[in-house]
Amino acid sequence: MKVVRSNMCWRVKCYPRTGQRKPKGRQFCLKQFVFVRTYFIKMSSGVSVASEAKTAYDEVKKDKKYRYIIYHIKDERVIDVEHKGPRPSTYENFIEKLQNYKSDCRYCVFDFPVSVSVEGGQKSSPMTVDRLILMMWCPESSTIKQKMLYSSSYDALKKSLVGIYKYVQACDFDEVSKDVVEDTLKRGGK
Amino acid sequence: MSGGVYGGDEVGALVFDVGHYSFRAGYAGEDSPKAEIPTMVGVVEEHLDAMDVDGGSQLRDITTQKKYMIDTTSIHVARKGMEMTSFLKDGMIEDWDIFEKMMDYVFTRHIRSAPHEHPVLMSEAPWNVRGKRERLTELMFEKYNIPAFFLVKNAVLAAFANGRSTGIIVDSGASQTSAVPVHDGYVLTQAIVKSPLAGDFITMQCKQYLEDQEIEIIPAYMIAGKVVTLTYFGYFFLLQGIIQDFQSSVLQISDSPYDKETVENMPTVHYELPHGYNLDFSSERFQIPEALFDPSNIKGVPGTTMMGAAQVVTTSVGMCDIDVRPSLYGSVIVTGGNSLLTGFTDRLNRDLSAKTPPVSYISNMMTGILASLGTFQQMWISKQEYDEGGKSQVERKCP
Repeated sequence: MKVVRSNMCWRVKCYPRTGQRKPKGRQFCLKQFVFVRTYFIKMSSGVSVASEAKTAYDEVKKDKKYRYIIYHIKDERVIDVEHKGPRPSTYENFIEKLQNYKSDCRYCVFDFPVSVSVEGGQKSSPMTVDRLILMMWCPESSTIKQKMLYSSSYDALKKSLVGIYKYVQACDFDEVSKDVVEDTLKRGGK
Repeated sequence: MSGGVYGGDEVGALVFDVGHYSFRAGYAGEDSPKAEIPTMVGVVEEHLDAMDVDGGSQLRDITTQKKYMIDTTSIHVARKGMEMTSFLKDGMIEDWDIFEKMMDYVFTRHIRSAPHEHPVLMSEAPWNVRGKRERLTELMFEKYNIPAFFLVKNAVLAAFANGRSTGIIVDSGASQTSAVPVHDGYVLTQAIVKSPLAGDFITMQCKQYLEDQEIEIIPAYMIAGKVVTLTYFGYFFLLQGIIQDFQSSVLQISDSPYDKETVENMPTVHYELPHGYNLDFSSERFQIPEALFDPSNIKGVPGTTMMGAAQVVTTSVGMCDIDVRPSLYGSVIVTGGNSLLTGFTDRLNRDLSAKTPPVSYISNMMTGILASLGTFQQMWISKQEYDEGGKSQVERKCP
């Protein structure tokens, strides 16, 4: 259940903009709740996200302990951490690791270092910023059941990992190549 | 929804996938449907004259009774006065009587198990309307007494089956070609674009072509002197079967826009019609399906304003938010029976002149896997919830 961004869904129009106002009393809250429940339910499989998955993500985001995380869906129920990549590893190392999953779907978080030009700064000193990307890896050779499971549960993971810069969906190694990812990071949108 | 959530260890859900050409039914998690039934249903009106010996014709009491012919074997028998009709219109259920008959038939003849034992997952057209969804929910719970029910938009299923939650689904089926943008498993309904240039249209074009060439098509029932007078639709249906075979084995879509000279150098295809007439087909096998991509040269319809397949896609993407456009172009998923025409995806890919991922043809049926997932159970509309909340539950639970 999630409130969809207004520019993506016409249904938002029929939703009274009560969200910003201060709720008056219990009855009001209830009414608002019903509204959200009625109109903003997204398709999902009911798979949940383990708390370890969020902790590991925070360790990447805040503590910069790891470079990347690979998640899997355990017993078709919970999204859990499968592998944590050490901080010094590069994107190439990550791709090498991904070679092990030629016929398995996974979710991956990668802390991607990007150089950005600083306005007003000196020309020769570009700044390096880490951009977090969340990737859904569904290779062509994986089973349809897996693809179905991972793509329908993607939304749950998206919601629990706050602060992702870009979402990438990939079905083959072309789509995860460094150039393509760098290109998406430059582009607008999510 | 506290206590009403549907649960149980063994799901054993049934999956129904409705299309204009066929109705697919089967068990969730299996590789292929248990049954594939033509959506076309034969209707025979039987006049039951109540014998009135008084003589006055006005007094004669005539009651008509409709008899429905369902499934491949019974509709392919040439019957006198049989009309062919479909319960679908524009992807949505229109004739609920026939639909009920169809469901009865599927449950008794193909599923062969009590409906109240299996939850049902049904696919629906992305543009389905609230009234129809509610009516369907009502029918499933009230008539078949199913334990749980779920409705999913077929475009969402196609996207998930290809491992994507965002993408544009190009569904070229029997009745229409549509482009449906899906974002995070959510259909952007306002940006759906549809065009009637699809399988049935190509069938009509083939029929036209064969008639122009004075090639006679003889349905099997006319061979060996069987004489049955059929209604136009009954005759046309049988004719259609033959043309569809011709269509799938002969037609091909050229990689680049149709050019008579290039195409004439391509190898010809030999085809033999059921009554023995055979011929080599060369340029016309490219010319007919060209209309799917370039409607400007459709025979007999001058200056048409219809949209070709690539234009349907670009228009649809253009109607979406600018932020999601790159990811939509990044995953174009082609589905539907008409897209199986040789060269369809190559041409679409070329016309879109953007990188599209490898597309695969997966029957929506496979997506029944969703229903087989253990965690999906909490999503179903259970019988209890229906009893408490009524048919409007479908709008609440199914996106």
